Amino acid sequence: MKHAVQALAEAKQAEAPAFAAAEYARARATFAGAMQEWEFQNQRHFIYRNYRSARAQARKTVLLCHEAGLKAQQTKDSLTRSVQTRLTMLQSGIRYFEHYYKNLPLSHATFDAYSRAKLQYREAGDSFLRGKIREASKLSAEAGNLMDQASAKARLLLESYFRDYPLWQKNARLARKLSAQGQTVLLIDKLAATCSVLRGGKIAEIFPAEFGRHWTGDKIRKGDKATPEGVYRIIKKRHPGSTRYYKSLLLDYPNAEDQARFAALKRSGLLPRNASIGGGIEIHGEGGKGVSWTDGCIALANADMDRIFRYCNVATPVIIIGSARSLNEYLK
Amino acid sequence: MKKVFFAMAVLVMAVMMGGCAKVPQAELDAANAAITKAKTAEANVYLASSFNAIQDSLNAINAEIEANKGKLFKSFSDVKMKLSTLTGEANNLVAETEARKDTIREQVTTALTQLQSVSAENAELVKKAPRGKEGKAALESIESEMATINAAAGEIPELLKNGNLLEAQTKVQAAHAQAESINQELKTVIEKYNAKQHRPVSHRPKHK
Repeated sequence: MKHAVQALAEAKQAEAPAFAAAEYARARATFAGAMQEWEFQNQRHFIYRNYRSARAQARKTVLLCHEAGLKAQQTKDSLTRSVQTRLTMLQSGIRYFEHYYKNLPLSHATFDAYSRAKLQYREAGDSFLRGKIREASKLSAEAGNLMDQASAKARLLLESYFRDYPLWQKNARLARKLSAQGQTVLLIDKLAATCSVLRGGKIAEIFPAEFGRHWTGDKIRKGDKATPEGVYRIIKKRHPGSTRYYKSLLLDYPNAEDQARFAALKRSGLLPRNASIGGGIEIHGEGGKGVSWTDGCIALANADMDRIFRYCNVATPVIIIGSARSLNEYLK
Repeated sequence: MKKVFFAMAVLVMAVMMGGCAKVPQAELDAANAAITKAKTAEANVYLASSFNAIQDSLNAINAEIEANKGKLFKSFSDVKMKLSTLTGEANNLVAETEARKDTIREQVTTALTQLQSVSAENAELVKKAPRGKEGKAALESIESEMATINAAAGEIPELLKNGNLLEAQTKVQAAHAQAESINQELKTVIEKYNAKQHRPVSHRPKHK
């Protein structure tokens, strides 16, 4: 019986109650049976006592405890490996999200899911380091679900955004062709957040640029805070004093394509009757905020605006594309 | 005379055996009660290995009791002593558990204060956040993380109140570490931006 008591203690130390609960419960039940039998026999007159059954149950307890201990070890090892893998995947997922999705205009709910995933990942990691494997497993599973949610939404946004990639490629080729023909062309890349100056078919300079809050969409109407995509020209240069954004270059948005699309959307009822196409899209200064903040215009830092202003004239082509790189290239 | 003497000896022996032959039920009950009290105090959660050791000791004592019951000449004096020691240990465990819980509460409260301080600093740093691409700070994402951290901080007093001390500890430690990470990120980025502040923003592409 002493061995049975010791075996139970050892199984408990091996965390059998947590990782081999059923087996440990059986061992305990068998031990309880052994003790009961022992007590029963002790109550009898010594002539009639027979401890064979009690001893057999005690031996069985030792065996069951040994099995429970082994099972606990196996389960714990397996769970530990599984949690480690999950934590590693989470870490990669978070890095991936931060690299490719964090700068997209995601919804508040998506950012919230991502933030909670990140915090729970940390909690899971701390629990794992403290040896609380079951707790780490639960927390990492929850973090994984949140991360999947956030990543799926971000991916969807990105894929939807890249539907127009063939058109962007075409317009980017046009930009290079026009610049090769001797014109200075501005090529705006919304995903890269850049405004490039093209000369002689090549990129001469690149400036960081900021766009409308909902920059991943093509501008459809007034107030949608989207930066339009397409082929435009500068129609007016505004010097300091004639604009509140330091200097500006007014574009001929909406062009014919924009107007045709707007009219079609209105006819189909996808836009309300009182919707207006908008206008006043400029490349202007007061940028350099590090966020997408305009109502649809393209903002540059004032020092960059000075250079652009010098390079451009009325009629300078301004071609705005969603991305010069394909989705696969972007995600490499 | 010899017969009387012999009878008296047998009587004395019977009394002695009878006196030591009873299972120390009162001591056993006291030990069980003390262990139950320790479990109620959550010793099994906060001082699990000590609690398990006491339970294992009780199992061993129960086995010893049964072993003694099977003997012709029983003696429970040793068992009585062990039960008394065990009861004392279980009672001490209650006090130790409360002390452990107080320590955790204090640690969590301190960590929460530190977290709130870092969060407040982060809120100020975000206002000074790098103006320009050099910052590479996705401000919206950082602000979302800060909101999540604040929400987690808000849950901690309730967890403490409900006695979920270990959960509160895990949460506050993770939130604090995350807030510190954001703090470092913002400070590094602000420092980097300030160092570059007067350099021309535009740059020429690298030629391949």
